[in-house]
Amino acid sequence: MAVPQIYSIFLIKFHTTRGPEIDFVVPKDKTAEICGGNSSSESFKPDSSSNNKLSSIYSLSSKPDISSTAGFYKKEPENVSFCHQTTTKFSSEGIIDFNALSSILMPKQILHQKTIKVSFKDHKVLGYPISVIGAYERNALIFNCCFVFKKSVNASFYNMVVKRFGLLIKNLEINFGFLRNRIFRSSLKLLVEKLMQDLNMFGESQILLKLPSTALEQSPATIEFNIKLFPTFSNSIEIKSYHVPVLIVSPNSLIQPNESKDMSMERIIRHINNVNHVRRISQLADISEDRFTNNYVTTAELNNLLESDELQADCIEFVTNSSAKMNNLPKIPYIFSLYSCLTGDLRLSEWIITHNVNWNQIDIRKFIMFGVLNGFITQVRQYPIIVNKSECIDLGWDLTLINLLDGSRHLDELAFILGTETVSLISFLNSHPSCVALISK
Amino acid sequence: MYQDQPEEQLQEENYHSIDNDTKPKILLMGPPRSGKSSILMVIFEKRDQLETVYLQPTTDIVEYTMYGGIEVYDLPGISYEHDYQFIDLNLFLGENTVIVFVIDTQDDIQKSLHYLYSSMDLIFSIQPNTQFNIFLHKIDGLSEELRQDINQEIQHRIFSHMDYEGYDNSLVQFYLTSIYNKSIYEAMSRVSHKLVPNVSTLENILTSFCYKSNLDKAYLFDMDSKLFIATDSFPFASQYHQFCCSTIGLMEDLTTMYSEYQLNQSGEVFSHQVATIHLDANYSIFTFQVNKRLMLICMVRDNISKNLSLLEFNAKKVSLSLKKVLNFPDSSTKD
Amino acid sequence: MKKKLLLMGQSGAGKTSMRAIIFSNYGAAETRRLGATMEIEHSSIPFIGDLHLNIWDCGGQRRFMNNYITDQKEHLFKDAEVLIYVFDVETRDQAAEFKYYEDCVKLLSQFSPTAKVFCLIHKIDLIKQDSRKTSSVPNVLANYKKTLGPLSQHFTPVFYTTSIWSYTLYQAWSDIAYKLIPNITMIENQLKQFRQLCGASRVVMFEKSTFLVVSHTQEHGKPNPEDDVFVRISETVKTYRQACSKIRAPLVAINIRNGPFSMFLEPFTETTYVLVVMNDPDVEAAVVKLNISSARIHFVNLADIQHT
Repeated sequence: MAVPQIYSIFLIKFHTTRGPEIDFVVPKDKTAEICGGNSSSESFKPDSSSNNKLSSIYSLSSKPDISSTAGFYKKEPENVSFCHQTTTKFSSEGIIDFNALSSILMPKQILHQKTIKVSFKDHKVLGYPISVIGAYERNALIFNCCFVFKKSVNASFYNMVVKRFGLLIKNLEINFGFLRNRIFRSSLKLLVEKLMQDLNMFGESQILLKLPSTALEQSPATIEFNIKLFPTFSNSIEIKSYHVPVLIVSPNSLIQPNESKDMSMERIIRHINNVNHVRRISQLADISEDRFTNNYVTTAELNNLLESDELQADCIEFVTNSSAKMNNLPKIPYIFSLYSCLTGDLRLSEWIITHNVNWNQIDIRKFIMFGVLNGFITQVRQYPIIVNKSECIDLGWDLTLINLLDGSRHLDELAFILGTETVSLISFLNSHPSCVALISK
Repeated sequence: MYQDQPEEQLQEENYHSIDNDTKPKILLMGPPRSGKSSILMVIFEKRDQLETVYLQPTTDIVEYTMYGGIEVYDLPGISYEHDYQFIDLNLFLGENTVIVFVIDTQDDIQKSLHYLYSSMDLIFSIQPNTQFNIFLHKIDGLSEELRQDINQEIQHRIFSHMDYEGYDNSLVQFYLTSIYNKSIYEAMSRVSHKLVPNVSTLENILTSFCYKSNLDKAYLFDMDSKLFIATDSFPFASQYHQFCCSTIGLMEDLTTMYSEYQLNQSGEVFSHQVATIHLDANYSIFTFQVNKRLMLICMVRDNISKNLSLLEFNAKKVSLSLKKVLNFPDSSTKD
Repeated sequence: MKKKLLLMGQSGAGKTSMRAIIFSNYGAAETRRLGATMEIEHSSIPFIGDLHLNIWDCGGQRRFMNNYITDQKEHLFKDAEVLIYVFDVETRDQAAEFKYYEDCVKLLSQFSPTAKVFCLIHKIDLIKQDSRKTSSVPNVLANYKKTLGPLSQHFTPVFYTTSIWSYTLYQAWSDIAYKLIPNITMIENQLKQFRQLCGASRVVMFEKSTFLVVSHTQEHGKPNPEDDVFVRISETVKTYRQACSKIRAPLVAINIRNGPFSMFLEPFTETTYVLVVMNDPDVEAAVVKLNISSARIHFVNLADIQHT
């Protein structure tokens, strides 16, 4: 399969007084086409054939192709005489009209870190606007590294690339001032050039970047960046909990030994065996949500809550229901007593009722989350075990079920295997107290 | 600043008898440009925070006198951490001296810490039990997470240094401060109110006031500096203290507004202000002016409109006894 | 009733900051955190009664400005009630600033000829620190007036010198808002009558959420335009309201008594607050409160339900 070809890559930066502007275009000879530009000698003529070979798509002509642009953008004669060169610089003679697209490619905050795709005449642009918050002139540095494709190219392959590359630059900016610092500009250009060449040629790219040392960094830093085009079938597959993920590459290649380890990633990958469905993976990997059927028990760490003023303030701030008013704020003694009441023998829902927890005052979810995060409480799992096998058989229980109840699986896991809800399983087991015992640990 | 007021002179006299050694004193120390002078100017001279941006480094010792005769000294920061050789620290260090050490959290922290360590060595060699109150200053410029990180990091480093040197850890207290919010008032209040003479008696009066009048909290504030002199013995949340500072600010602003155009009628500002502020959630603030400089601020959880007169009566009694303890002549002649 | 307000000016002039302070309860120092405005930010703010202010906060970067006066000119300048143009006294390129102003006003006269124009000479706090005596605030203002007057087409712009660090910003916005309230003369007359009836020396009406002064009346003659006392109350009370919300107890009412004076700040109609200043020791606080609540019913009809 031929690799979908990138036509060009350009970087937009937000200038605090001039607004969005194109920083550079790769390859360099496409600059005039992308930026437009008053040097009409570099105008172009679209080719009707959709050939993948770049060199033959456009024949450079010295005549400006007026017909393709004239209808789109009319300049008001009285305003042409503006005192700013920018107006003339970004006229609409390129393959894209940056003036028209700038608000899409450099959108409001709410669309930052989202993949943006826009078609314009014969081309489409894929971008991923990013703002780096920090000590900049207007508190943020906003940029977007945009990939331009011919309209016929299937660019969906590149969704991930645009995103990952954007995030790479973001990281480089945070750690080295990669965009802020002019000395890196040529490095960035080289990087983009190489990325484009590699991707167009091989569909993947491995970039090893040696950054010139700045005054701050004594030794030159080396950055490694690997990227590959993966075929994606649809941009938005809705993942259901019963879907079974199938590995298409060796899991070991996804986990890189030297990279900073992504623990949850590894935990998940371990359970992807082409059989487990998503929910089971999440259970096995112990990425569980806190639920009202869960049991929690306090740990010795709870004492910290009494000792640290800071923790107390944080705690009140965090667990208070957002609708609570000042005269109704929970007090530490109350919070402490609530935590203390989590003895592991009550489900959260029962605990709420037994101790008459004030919903309006305390956000239970946050209350539990705060406890877990600070190690005050841990979840208690229940492992049912058959104590009277013969009675179970008399009751006509399924053998597989009987075999499952060997004390090695906790309720959540069982509920899954049996395909029921934890709650109904609990009520079922509770109705036969003589057959099944629940072990908590 | 206010020595011209007769009641203050009495106050001063009262303390002349006290030996220099036990006089309550606060020394502000810290590297140059850490914000010492700005802190004092904002608190004692009511300077605008922005004005302090252009301050030149302090070269002479500046003295302020706080309520209750507490002396506050702004010691010039010296660029080379090699101490205060030309200042005879013996003059300042007594039994009732506490240090406020200001660290600029946006500056080179390592350097500030070295400065702190050498100051500690010097001061502990003279007065081993001197309290160090460390202000982690200019925190407004940092993000929430960074604040916590820096706070922990600095505390950890200072504690391990003190362990190493064999100093008592309990001599050090930390405060996150900024002159752009009320946190600086709170920190200074906490540092100074322990030094106020007869503070325990004042505290008892306020505690009993709270108990009898069903109040949540009662503070006795010095309006000029927005520092509290005393509060009841119930535990206090910093947000309430900062809120009281805002309340004083409001009273101050509103008072100047109406006195401004009605001065011509009497020629004098009345100093018996009583105010009630109703907040949502049945919460109320009641303020009662004790004298020209002092104000009682009470936080009440009930609706006070029904028994406001009773509360006012109690407040009057309380303010009389407070004045007695603070040794003021009863100046409430006109009512 | 909706009124369209255009908030324009060069990038970094302080448009979004002033909007945040007046309409979103930001403190002056907090505005440092704000980022640049991308293109146009719309916000609709309920004001007195059924009046809604539709604020178009227009990012001032050159590319945006050029779009406003070309492609988007009709969209932007049509049906505008007010143009608030913010001038940065520290601007790096004053010639360009004036040119844009001229272009905007030209387009405004074309699409909304009956609009009002306000020029805010902003960041005047920065002038004070200039050691040269020549650049005093009145001088700077006079210079702006001289230059901008001829560029303003048939409009007669109203000039203000403002700073987020002082009440001047409230003064300017109170004034602008005042000019937008449709039945303001009626409200003013009724308020005067109310003051006389309850024997108060001063009565001021504030808008509830912004605390901008809507109308004020006092015992002796007309209010002095130079008198900024009540504008300063706007700022003070608003700062205090922020402190109240920090402890989760929103402010309801304030009552101060000192010698013969007393001061009542009470919620009035749905969208307003009222301040009553008494200078008569014989009038009981309860009576004043009763008067306020009696007047409330009357003013609800006047201020909240209107233009039918």
